[in-house]
Amino acid sequence: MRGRETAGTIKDLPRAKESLFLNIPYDSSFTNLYLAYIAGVSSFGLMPRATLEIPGGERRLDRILALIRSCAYSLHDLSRVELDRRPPTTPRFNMPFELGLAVSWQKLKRPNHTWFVFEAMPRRAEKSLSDISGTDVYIHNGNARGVFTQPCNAFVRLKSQPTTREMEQAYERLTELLPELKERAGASSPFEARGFQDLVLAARDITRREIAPQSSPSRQP
Amino acid sequence: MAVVIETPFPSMRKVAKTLGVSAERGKEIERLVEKQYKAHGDGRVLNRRSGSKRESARPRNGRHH
Repeated sequence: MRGRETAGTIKDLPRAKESLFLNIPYDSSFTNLYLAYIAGVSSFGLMPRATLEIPGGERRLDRILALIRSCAYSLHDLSRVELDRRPPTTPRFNMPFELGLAVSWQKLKRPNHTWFVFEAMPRRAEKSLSDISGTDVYIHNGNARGVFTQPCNAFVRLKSQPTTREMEQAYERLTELLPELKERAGASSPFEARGFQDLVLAARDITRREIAPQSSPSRQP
Repeated sequence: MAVVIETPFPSMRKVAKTLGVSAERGKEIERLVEKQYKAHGDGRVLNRRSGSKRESARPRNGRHH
């Protein structure tokens, strides 16, 4: 049927060495950082993947595991540690749980899988999740600029690296496009399958325009 | 934990394929982005902090008032 697409089943997920599993909160107050992550990750030539993009029908946990398996990298944002306001008030355990899955995958099965932990506040993750002490935690301070600065530390490239300004440009473009993308998808939130896919596609095109023309001569295939 | 990566920017087609969407939809998004770039010139004039996203309608004569 035209206009209707599915991302297939978890078995169809291709392995991609340039894919990154984005493990972040899905709520409206996180929209700016959500866009910043998509723009920032795309600026490094990586493809963000998220559980948002795979349609239901399969067990959520299976989908998460399949996504982690299909990505060479994973990025886990542990900044949402406060209690959810909606009753019953609880903290959100999904992000640390998925980090645990990624760490297990790397330790037990795929040593090449590389995972990163992001937080908004310094030293908070060492308290909230002391099991990861000794691991570098990247602090974004809860703002988009922090999200752009930290990947530069995490993804050290040999020859070329997008500047924070380039990432900001991509982020601003993506932010401007968001209302139109949402309207096209008939979505009220960007945290939906189609919205996420459209944002990733748009980010790919934007970063190609913003970054590749300047950096491609020194970028190695 | 730092990692050295050397990856080319994946093509739009590859991104669409990996996401499980049609190349046609990828092209639609490309057109949308293109439209936005055309609306904003070469794309290097965005500056939210200054409060203006577009060039001023008032012609500039080079003088500073």
